[in-house]
Amino acid sequence: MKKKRYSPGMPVAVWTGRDPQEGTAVDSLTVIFRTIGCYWSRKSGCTMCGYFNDAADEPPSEDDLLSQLDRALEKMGTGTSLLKIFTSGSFLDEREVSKEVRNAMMERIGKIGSIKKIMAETRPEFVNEKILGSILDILEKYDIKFEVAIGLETSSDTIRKDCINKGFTFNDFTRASEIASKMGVSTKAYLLLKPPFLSEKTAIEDALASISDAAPYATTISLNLTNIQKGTLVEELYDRRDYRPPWLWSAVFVLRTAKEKFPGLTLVSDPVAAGTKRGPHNCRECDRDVAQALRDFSITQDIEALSWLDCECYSLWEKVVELEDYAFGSFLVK
Amino acid sequence: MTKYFEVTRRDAAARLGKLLLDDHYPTPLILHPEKDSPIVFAGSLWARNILSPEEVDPGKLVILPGKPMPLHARPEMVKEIYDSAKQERQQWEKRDVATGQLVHPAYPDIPHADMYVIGAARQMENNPRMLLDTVIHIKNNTPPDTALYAPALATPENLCLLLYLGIDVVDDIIPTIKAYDGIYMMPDGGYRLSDLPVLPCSCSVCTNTSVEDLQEMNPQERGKLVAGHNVNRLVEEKQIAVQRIRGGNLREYVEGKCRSSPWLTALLRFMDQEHVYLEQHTPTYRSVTMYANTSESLNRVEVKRFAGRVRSQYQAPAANILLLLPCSARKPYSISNSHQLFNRATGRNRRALNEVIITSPLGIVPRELELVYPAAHYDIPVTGHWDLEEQSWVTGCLVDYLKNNKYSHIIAHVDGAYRDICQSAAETLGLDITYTAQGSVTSARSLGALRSTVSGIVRDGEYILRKTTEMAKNMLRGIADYQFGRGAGWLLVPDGASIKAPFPKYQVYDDKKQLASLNPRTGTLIPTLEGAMRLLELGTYQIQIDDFVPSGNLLAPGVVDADVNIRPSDQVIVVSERVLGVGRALMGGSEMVRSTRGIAVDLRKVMEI
Repeated sequence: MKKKRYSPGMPVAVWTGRDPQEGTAVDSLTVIFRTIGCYWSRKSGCTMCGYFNDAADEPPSEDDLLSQLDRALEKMGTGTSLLKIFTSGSFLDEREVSKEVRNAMMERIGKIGSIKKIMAETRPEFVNEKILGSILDILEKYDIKFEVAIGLETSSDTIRKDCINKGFTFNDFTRASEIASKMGVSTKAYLLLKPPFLSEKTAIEDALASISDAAPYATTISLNLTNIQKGTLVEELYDRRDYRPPWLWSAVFVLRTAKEKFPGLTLVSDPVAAGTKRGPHNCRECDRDVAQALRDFSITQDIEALSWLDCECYSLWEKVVELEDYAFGSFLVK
Repeated sequence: MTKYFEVTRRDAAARLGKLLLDDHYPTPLILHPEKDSPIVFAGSLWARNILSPEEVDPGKLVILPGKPMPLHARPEMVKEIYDSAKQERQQWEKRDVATGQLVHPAYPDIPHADMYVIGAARQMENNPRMLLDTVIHIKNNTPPDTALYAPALATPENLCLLLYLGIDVVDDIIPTIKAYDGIYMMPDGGYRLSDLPVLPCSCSVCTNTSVEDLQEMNPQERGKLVAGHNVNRLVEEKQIAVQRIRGGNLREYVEGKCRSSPWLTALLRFMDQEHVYLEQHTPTYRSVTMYANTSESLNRVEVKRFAGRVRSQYQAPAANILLLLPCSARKPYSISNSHQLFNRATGRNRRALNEVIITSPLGIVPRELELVYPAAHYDIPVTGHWDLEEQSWVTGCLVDYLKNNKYSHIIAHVDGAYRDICQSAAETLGLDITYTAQGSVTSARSLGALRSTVSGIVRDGEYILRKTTEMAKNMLRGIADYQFGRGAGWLLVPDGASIKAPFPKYQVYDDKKQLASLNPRTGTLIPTLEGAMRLLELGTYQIQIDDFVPSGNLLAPGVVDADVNIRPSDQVIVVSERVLGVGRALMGGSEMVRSTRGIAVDLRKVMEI
């Protein structure tokens, strides 16, 4: 018999951090629940997403899920006002977290007292009046705001289809955002910097265009820098030297340019696995500093955090951006 | 139909040509990708902004918009994504501009274009098998008068091999990128700039700067300068290759250049293994020296082809005695000191002999073919040492010859490795060979033994001593069979023919009409119109043309059909209902049928029937 690689009453991960909220930085708690995982990953799956690796082998019981929440809340510091909820899928998909469990969770969170806002990640097809209504019915009692976080990845339907295989359209996203907005629920959009097949320049241009397109529908945009996750198509490409994660300089450029254009928009980026071969990287020399600058900017929203950076490899990156389109499918520098 | 590219010169798969755009751009072309390059990319269909057909300057070649996929993407994905861009591509079809098509190795069909772009070519560095297969796949499925572009692949180190492979367009992307990555490129590979104590180059950039200067610069300035040097080196390599293609000796340069890297050496070896790809473009005749300096020389088309034709087309004149001789450094062998001594030793009895010369890398050369390219044109490093591969190749050639030609006596006037080869051939076939040399083949003792052995055999038997003119006819028949196929000898040099002019500028006459003359520089028989008429019944080396009277050059569009065995430099016969012509082919038979541009035949004489 296969030995369980996890305990069903424990969340996949919990951590504390700081996040920008309405002009200031606040303490946050992030939890990833272990549910049966994303239905789309079982049906088809996205090229870069390896979160199915964190799904439960068997559906966790209601008690398991509530226990996961309790374990997470134990890690929470006093004064934490933001709770961010992920499931490696969609928190609002009732096949992952039933309505009953979800409502029980909302009650428990509400009773803590310090939480002012809950953010939960979901695909847009689960954002509807009924589900949001049932959540808001509880949260309004505790004066907690709710935010849906949607992995839009790009505003280009062609790229989302060809390169990501996300299975929804930009329209699906805007519809979800508008429903949420009508009910007083804010939207956070996740964008993917450098889906597979794109040159560095096309990736940068896509991220900038996507920020412009998504800005009217999102209060916060988070730029996810593609990294190599286990068992994904992107990993298959990476293993055959068909793919290179984005340069950190590209993220710096995108955030700087976008922040100048949309000063009021909250722009964040947590460069997962930065500085490793399987993560976004520049040369070895500057990776740590540039990644830290991206994190600092994400908290402070101060463009100065990104302005002082420089490295020998910056002009190499500029050339890559200029010339990689002409490699017609290959990347130019590891 | 291609009206934007023309091939003007060929050396095996390598070629010189020109892109006919707002200006004529000679190929090989090193593209510097920017807005006003002669070749522009309309853009990735994943990008937000791409060029529309209306925006493209009609004087440029435009690479159609596409979705460039990495090399190893799953084939079904490559196909699906390619097909999803069909509509965008169709917009361009109505427009009369020169177009380039992106071809991913995994995509089975190749749509029409004037230039083909090898998708993700960069990833084929270090993968010679895939690069070769991809190039052959594209070449086999596209018209010969279209250009081939390998993007982001060329370096000063590999450029001549890429051109040898048949690529027409490259770019300066890798030399540029490497410069900004601190790599200083030389013809033998890349060096880390930080490891160089001095700059090992005297190009325009390097004479005006130093390692110290470069170190003090900011990365941008430094990158720009080093890129200047790297690109200078790339351009220099191109110029050498162009010169070599003109001279018909790119192969020798490539054999040397490939040594700097295993993947390039492997690429050359794979190309030789493919044989057909190179063979169909390799000229049959050249007048320049063929250097056989490497082990790969043994596998080059010229060597395999010569041996093949000696085996299957050449027919030895009737004789019962065979004399095997070693090769000489001086060519043709007859004019060398050693062969003059051999001739003097055999004297008039020589007319009873067949003479066959043993040599590396050609194997064996019948005396009758000693003028034929490359028998009179090759040169090798002579050390006295033969490696095993060389020995077994030459032995095999000799064994084949001895199987096809029976003699009552075989004499070998050879020593050293030549003798080993004769012995092993004799052993294989159970033949007896008389060895006449003891020690040096040119010693008085050896020559005396040769003289007495030959005269002894001739004296004791009923052997015909051919007349001198008969020997000349034998030589010309041998050359004709080698050149046009078995049987050509008797058609072009019939029994009653007479031979004029001294060796080797022979002319063949019959009924007071000249049939052919021998070009001693290449060892080619040049048929006259009368000679061509005699050859017609053989059916080889003929080109059918449309109903018109060509003059000067025959262009490819006029060719209706052509013998697929025609190679550049071959003497050919041009025929139609109205005309008969003779000339020299400038492209292969299948290329002239499939091309819409370029000179197919340099015509010498045409007559209306």
